[in-house]
Amino acid sequence: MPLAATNDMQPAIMTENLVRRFGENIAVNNLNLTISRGEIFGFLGPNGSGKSTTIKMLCGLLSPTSGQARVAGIDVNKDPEYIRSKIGYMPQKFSLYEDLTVTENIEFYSKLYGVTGHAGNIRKKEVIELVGVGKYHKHLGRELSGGWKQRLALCCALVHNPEIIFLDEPTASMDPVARRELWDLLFSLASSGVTLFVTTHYMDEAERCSSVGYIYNSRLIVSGGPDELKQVREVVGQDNQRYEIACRPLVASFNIIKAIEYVEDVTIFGQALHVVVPAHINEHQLRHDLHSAGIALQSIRPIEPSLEDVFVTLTKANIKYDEEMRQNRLSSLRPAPSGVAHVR
Amino acid sequence: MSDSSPQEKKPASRALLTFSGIYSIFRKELIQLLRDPFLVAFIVTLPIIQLVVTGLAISKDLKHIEMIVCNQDKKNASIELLKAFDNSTFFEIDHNNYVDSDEELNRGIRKGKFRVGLTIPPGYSEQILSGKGHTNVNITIDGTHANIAKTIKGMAIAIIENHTHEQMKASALGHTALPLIGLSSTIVQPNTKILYNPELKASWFLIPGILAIIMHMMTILFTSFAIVRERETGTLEQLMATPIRVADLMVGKVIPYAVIGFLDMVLTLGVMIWFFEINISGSFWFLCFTSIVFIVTSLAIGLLISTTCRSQVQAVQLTLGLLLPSLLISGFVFPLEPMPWFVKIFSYCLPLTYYLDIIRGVVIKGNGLSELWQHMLILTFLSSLLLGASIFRFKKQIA
Ligand SMILES: Nc1ncnc2c1ncn2[C@@H]1O[C@H](COP(=O)(O)OP(=O)(O)OP(=O)(O)O)[C@@H](O)[C@H]1O
Ligand SMILES: [Mg+2]
Repeated sequence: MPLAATNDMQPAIMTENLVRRFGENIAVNNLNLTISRGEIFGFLGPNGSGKSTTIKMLCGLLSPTSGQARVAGIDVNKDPEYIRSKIGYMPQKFSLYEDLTVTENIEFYSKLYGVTGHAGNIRKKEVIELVGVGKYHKHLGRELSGGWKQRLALCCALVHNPEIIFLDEPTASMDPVARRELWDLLFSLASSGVTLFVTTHYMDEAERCSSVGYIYNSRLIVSGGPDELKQVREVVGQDNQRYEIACRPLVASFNIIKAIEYVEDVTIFGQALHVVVPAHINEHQLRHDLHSAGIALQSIRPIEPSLEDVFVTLTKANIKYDEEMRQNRLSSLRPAPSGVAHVR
Repeated sequence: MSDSSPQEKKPASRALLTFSGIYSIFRKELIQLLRDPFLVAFIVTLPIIQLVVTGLAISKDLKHIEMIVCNQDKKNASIELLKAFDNSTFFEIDHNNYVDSDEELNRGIRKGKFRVGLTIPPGYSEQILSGKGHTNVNITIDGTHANIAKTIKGMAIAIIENHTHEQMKASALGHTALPLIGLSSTIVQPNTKILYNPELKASWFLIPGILAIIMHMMTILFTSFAIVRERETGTLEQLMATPIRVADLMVGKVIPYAVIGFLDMVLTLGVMIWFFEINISGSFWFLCFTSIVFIVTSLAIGLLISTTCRSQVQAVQLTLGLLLPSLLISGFVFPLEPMPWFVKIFSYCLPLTYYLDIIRGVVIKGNGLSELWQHMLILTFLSSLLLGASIFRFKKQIA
């Protein structure tokens, strides 16, 4: 999608010290984000960390408590109507009409977006085909399964050819095939110049994004390309090494390994353990120590940290930091641990 | 993806309202309404049912009115008369508990146990037997419920007149219940005495008032649901992410309910005219016209409520919470004149106050625009104020 010259230079989304409070609680705290056009930005974070709140502010549905947000080059406070005509929004919860049919829902939203006439009909057909909801056109919204509701919502969010699309957990209730299909669709949209802002809890989806941000407890802890993030100093460190260890039984081994004095961190990943040890402990020594601790080792290999490792490590560091803050308010001058070196 | 520059999509006009916006909302709302036939049936029939039930409870179809009797005569002819009352299903006499004096009879009525008392004076049977002249019986009626009192009075008189007539006819034909007297043309003259409210003024007062209140309440409720429902189900969030104008949304949502409200109004007016047999002294069309304005005002109140509430339950609560006090101070039950000034201030802020004046004026006194133009002006002003307020409030909430 060719972009108009005036807005071309502007990033698709930019926030500056964006804050949203709900009474005493801070849902989004000093968010600074820059997302270029054509990017797929993956927004991750635990439940209640402020992802949906951020999206709602960017869509002009919630007003920021303080700070700035520019979407499509325009301040969300200044001209929300204009921005709304440029963006598509797919809420976390199904928000279309359960008592209208698929066709009626699409009709309704295309009218609201001014997608009418001959060109409008072509566009509608195109989107219906793209998302594949055509075979359910006579079904009422409430009759659709969760995944098909998501697709219908996507259809309504795409119908006006938006420049920027916000998708709040779009794959939450989709089967693996549908998830794959949706991501293929997102890639094709991105390649045509559309910017995508996607929240998700799936690491494999995060790995497919061109950039990701991780928000924890209302603070953006890290952002950057998935590969860049794996280089964040707090996670990698020059002086430690990460190993994947397969052994049985998993949980018992986990407890034993945790007790070894030089082990810095152990995490269960699927059927294996990820263990972080100081760099001066080599693989041979680790293997030996595990044996003498009585662990039935199946395999051991040095690994690079995964995205999940990055998030887990940073979350743990932040939990520790929050606890220290609570115990000793004087130390509040120290900044929260983060990989913000990579804020772009 | 088709080629389109951002400039092209910018809405051309910045008008507050657009036809296409209103139309899309209106159409959607209509489809949703029709998809829920139960709701439509509910909206259409509920006001009628309410009016009929409430109206009946007040005026029509009275039965089994308990009557206290003071029979000072105690002879055959008086027993015949009491039988006549017994034979109507309208009155019910407790034959085991006659009283002996008018004081006792009045006390029974004052306590609210009886709505009506019948006193047959001593010498009643003698007078009947004499076959000429006339004799009195006294009917004492509780006038608190003017309509009921009126009906009781009419029924009692009718029963007595009918009884006198039958008696004459029977005597003339020879098979009389009073075999010894032969022909009797004694006229029984009922004297009625109304307690507490001798003028019985409220009769035509109530039904139009009830109609106004029912329409007011129903319209507010259904409109307040219109937006609260979308908020409750979350569909408002998606709707607000589109470039729809707030005013378009409001107006488009209100129109279907305005149409239904007006249909309801005509139907309930029909019930009032044909079922309760209340004639409109003034112009029917003028009443329809004023009713539209009133309905729009009620819609605006509903909209305002729906911008405040998070759930439909809250909307019901708020509606009832507002409506119940306004029943008391709008002049529906109690007249406005004796109220203290600070209550009157609230009374004159209520659209209901003006519409009650209008509908009663048109129905009872035959008023028209020349008497009621000020009321109309105020109603119009209130409805635009309320509509503006709800659009303003709504805008602030999503921003
Ligand atoms: N309307 C609201 N009123 C009060 N608090 C709110 C409101 N909306 C969100 N919050 C609070 O703000 C915080 C962030 O919520 P948000 O919905 O943005 O989380 P999230 O990251 O989207 O979580 P999830 O992964 O569960 O969707 C939470 O603590 C939530 O309780
Ligand atoms: Mg969320």
